[in-house]
Amino acid sequence: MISFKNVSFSYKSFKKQVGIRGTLKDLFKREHVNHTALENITFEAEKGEILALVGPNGAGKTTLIKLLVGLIEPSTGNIDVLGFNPYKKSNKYLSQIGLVMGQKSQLTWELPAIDTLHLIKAIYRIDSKDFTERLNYFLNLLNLKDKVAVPVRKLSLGERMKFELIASVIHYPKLLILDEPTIGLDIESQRAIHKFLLHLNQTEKTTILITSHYMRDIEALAKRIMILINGQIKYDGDIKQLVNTFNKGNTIIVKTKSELPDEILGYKIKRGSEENSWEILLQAGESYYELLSYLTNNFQIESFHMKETPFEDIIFNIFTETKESSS
Amino acid sequence: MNKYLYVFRNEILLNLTYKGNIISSFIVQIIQMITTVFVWRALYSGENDIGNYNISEMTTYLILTSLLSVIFSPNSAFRLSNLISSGKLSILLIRPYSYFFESFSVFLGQKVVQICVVFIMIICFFLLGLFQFSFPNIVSILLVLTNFILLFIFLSVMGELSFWLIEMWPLRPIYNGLLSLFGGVMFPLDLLPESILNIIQFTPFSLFGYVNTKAIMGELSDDAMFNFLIASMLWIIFFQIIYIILWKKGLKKYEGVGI
Amino acid sequence: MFFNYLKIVWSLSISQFFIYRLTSVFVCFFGVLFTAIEVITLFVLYHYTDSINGWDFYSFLTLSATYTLISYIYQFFFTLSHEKLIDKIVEGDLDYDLVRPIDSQLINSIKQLDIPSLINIVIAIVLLCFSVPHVLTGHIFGIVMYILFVLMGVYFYYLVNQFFINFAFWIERPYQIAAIPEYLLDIASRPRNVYPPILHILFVWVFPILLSTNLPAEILRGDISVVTLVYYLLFIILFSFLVRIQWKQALKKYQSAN
Repeated sequence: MISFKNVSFSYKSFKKQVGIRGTLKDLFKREHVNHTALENITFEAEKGEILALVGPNGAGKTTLIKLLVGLIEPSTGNIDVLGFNPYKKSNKYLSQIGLVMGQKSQLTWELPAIDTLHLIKAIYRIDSKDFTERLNYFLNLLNLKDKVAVPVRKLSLGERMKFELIASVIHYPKLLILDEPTIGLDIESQRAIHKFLLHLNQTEKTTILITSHYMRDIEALAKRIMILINGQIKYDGDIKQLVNTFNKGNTIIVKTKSELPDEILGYKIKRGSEENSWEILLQAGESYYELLSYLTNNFQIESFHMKETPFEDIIFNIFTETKESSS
Repeated sequence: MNKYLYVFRNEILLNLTYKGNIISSFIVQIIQMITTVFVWRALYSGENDIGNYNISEMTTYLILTSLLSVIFSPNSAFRLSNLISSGKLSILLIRPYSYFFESFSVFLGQKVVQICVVFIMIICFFLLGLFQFSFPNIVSILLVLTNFILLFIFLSVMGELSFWLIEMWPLRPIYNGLLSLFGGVMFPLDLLPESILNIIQFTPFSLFGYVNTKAIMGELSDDAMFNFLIASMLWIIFFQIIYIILWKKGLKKYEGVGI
Repeated sequence: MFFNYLKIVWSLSISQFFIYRLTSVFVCFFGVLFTAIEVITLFVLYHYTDSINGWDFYSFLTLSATYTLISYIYQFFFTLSHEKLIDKIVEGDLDYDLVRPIDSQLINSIKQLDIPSLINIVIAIVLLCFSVPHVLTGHIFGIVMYILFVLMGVYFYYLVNQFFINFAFWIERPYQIAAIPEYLLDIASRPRNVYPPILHILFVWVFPILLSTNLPAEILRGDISVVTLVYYLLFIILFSFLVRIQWKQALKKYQSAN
């Protein structure tokens, strides 16, 4: 469905000189700098897959999306989506994709959403009866029935985003691309959007590619995650596997009635936030039985529990690690 | 319904939500018109003619150029720059339609509303006894329509400059200044010496203001109308070619930003 | 004290000017362009006549230049501050200015000077140097009176602007109302006796915006009507009080709305 083969994208930018003399110099000879936004990207995605794309700012996520929808042409390599070269921007291709950009609206601010939806119906040549049914279905699903005639500027951010979603999927796209769709939304709206996307994916086998800074989105939606750092794919695979691979360990929190020594069985023991609570770092995959039995035998234990490292922290660690190793 | 028809319809709806802006732009134009009309009328004492104009022809001329300059305002040229700076151009580009025709539909939507207001105004001025009606013939209607298309293409090319210019606003006063001078908004161009008139009457600005007004007033000879029609069409072809070239180059430039 | 304040405002404006120097170049260019259009129009007009209701070419040119002068002196001192003031009122952002030990109306009228306008002022003065010798009938005293009444015109125009801007305290979308003074002054760019009686009465005896530009030019020509002059001065004094009261009321409204 989507296939990137050794795709790179680089662009030139001009160095701007300072001051009047510099501006004059620029007129005649401009120094340019080459930037590589994406380097040797290869991946494939199957129909019906939900693929999450994450990475720090400037990693190349937006560039990848632009390549995917055909707004830019790769410098080298081949892109094939649904059997098309996206850059040719054939109407046949464009009719089969949908795009949601969290920070750019396709709805006309002053008019009710229904006017934009009618426009989209005409652009994508959707049959009238079909359009009405599908729209009503979506409006019910997203609880927007009585908002459809309200000017967009009077809608809440969540309601607006839901309409953006409808506007991007009303034409049965086979591929739906979401760039930061939940930015700035409250949890309730975020959940509604997750539910809607999963529903769409299950009922229509829509392939979904999503970027987000909220790991909540990624965890709720995607099985497969692709991590992009400095224009390169750092990880591409199952989320669960990612957690197993990159999780450095889990923290065990112990509450006792007495003091603990600095070290037990080779584990370093740190003081916790509360009185008489202690933190012990356990390597991923290590069993805690030995530790537990040693503690219960030698000390008076009040409680013992394991805190899993949140998904967000794991991703954050990957980001920062790569940064440190590259600098 | 056709997709471009929907763009057109939505643009009309959008313009109607900005009634205040449309009305105020006409009020501004009428105030500026008052300052020219009464000065010119003060030049007439009794039955004298100025150039080829008697007092009611002069008044009609000045009212018409003034109202036309609202329709032939440079506003549409700034749409692309807004689309680029808000990033919304990307959304339009990935829709299965042509940006050129989409923007033409938007343009028509805006103009329909303005043209309606102009008609209402003309009727008002007529009832006040300040406007002389005449019935334009087919060729003059054709000429005005051609100039109207020229306006769209001219402004589109102007708008394309926003791919390269950071500041677009200076183009507005430049355009307005040129329109009021070469478009004959301040005075009929045929009051100028013939040598100067011959140079400037075929510029797009003259076609927008002076020529359109004279055509609507039915004061152009068949020969003159034919010449202006040819000039207008040649301009259209010229700017259309420029448009296509700049569009290709501009899009390449646009693709490079915001990565 | 106020003089020191003005000095600081001046130096701040200068540095702003250098940051936006490209914009400033454009503004200068437009000043020249529109003056050129005005002069060309006058040439065409006076090709067909020697006098428009008693105004010959040079006195009309003097009037045009006076209009430009008043308009740009206002712009130089007040326009940037007034633009900011509207935004501040709309966003409810006036608090700082109300606690300063300086008059709040004054501080909000002179915050930043519009340096590029100086060029347009110079253009107007050059035009005047060219036209005034042909117009001046009385003695040198006429020029002193002229300067006095130009400044009066600036003050009047300032009041008109302040008056319309103050509506922002009561109205939700004030930007269009705030643009009205500019168009009123446009009307004043022409000799007052070209207008039909209704407009003449309206803009001379009801709201004397026409006098702000016409009086200085008429003084140079030597036709002074004492009645008009006295009326104009009285109107400005009364209007000053009105704008002052309006400002106080507006602040009350602002503070209670907080």
